[in-house]
Amino acid sequence: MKKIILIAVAFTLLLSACGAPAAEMVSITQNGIEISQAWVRAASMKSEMGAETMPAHGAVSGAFMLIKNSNAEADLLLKASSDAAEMVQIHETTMQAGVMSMAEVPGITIPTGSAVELKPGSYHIMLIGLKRELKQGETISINLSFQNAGDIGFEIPAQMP
Amino acid sequence: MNRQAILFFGLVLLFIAALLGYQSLLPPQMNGSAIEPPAAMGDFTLQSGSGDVTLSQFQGQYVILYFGYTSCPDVCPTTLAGLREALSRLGDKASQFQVIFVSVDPGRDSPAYASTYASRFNSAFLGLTGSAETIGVVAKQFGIFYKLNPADASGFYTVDHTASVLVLNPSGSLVLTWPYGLQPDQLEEDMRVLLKKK
Repeated sequence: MKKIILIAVAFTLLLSACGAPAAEMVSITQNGIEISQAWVRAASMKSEMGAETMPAHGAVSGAFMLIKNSNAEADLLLKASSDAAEMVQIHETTMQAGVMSMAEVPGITIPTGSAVELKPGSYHIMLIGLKRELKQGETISINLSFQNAGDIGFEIPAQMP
Repeated sequence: MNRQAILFFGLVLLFIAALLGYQSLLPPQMNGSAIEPPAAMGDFTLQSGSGDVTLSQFQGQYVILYFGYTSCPDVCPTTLAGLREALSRLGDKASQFQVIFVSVDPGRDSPAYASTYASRFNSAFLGLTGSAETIGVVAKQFGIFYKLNPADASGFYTVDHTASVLVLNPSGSLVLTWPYGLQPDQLEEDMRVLLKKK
């Protein structure tokens, strides 16, 4: 019986490992805010993609992560910045009657003792006007400003779209 | 084992066999929404990076049609990546499906850019767009809603659009729609059901 349980546990671990997006995932904790499972979508520059002209703002990408707050008070993600893009915004994607809308939001509340996931179809950090191609495996630096926890800077890996 | 137990297990097995037999007679359940009877959708001609592409030239194949825009960082790439994953699970049967991405944002997406964007997911994916006027007509024809939102102070704008994927059968009629959020294995299951029908 013990053996069976062990095998089941190993199998579950294996399955969950398969489901995890990729290897070198960062995890950083600062002032009670933990950021983990961060990744940015790999993207090419428009000029490298056969576009004859560079339309306004060039290419875009999105960054996704899990933000956990272990402080006694809720915190607010106010601002994001990165030297990889001309402009960085906090966006939320919403779905209404099958129609997808995306809009900038003033911030994201991270409730006390819980985590908010920035993921496709929900919140993301929007990188507008990429300054360089984001190749899979490369990293970009990003800085998040929280109302209470202050600035948290870290590197996140680019993954295939 | 006594006789009663044998009888009991025999009945249970019989019941399971009957249930399985009944289920195999039912039409297979789809993860997406099946369109019954299939709806004729008409044709279109749009532009790829290498010239005009007409929808009817893919008759004989299933066409997976998705409307979006390349400045979309999450829903559009997630959808295209899901289709790539589902098709790779199909193996050599994948060639019976043609994925076509149509950009509803021709102001920022040239035909060349739409094509290169789509082919980054899978070299067989086609990316098309057309004049703003043609895109409007084609979107309406396929029941796709889209709206270019006002630009912010920096000039950046987002686009609201229907996030569903349309599947056309080999004669060009709509047979299935997939809402956003289905997983690649669910798409693959539906693709296999469609191939059995063909």
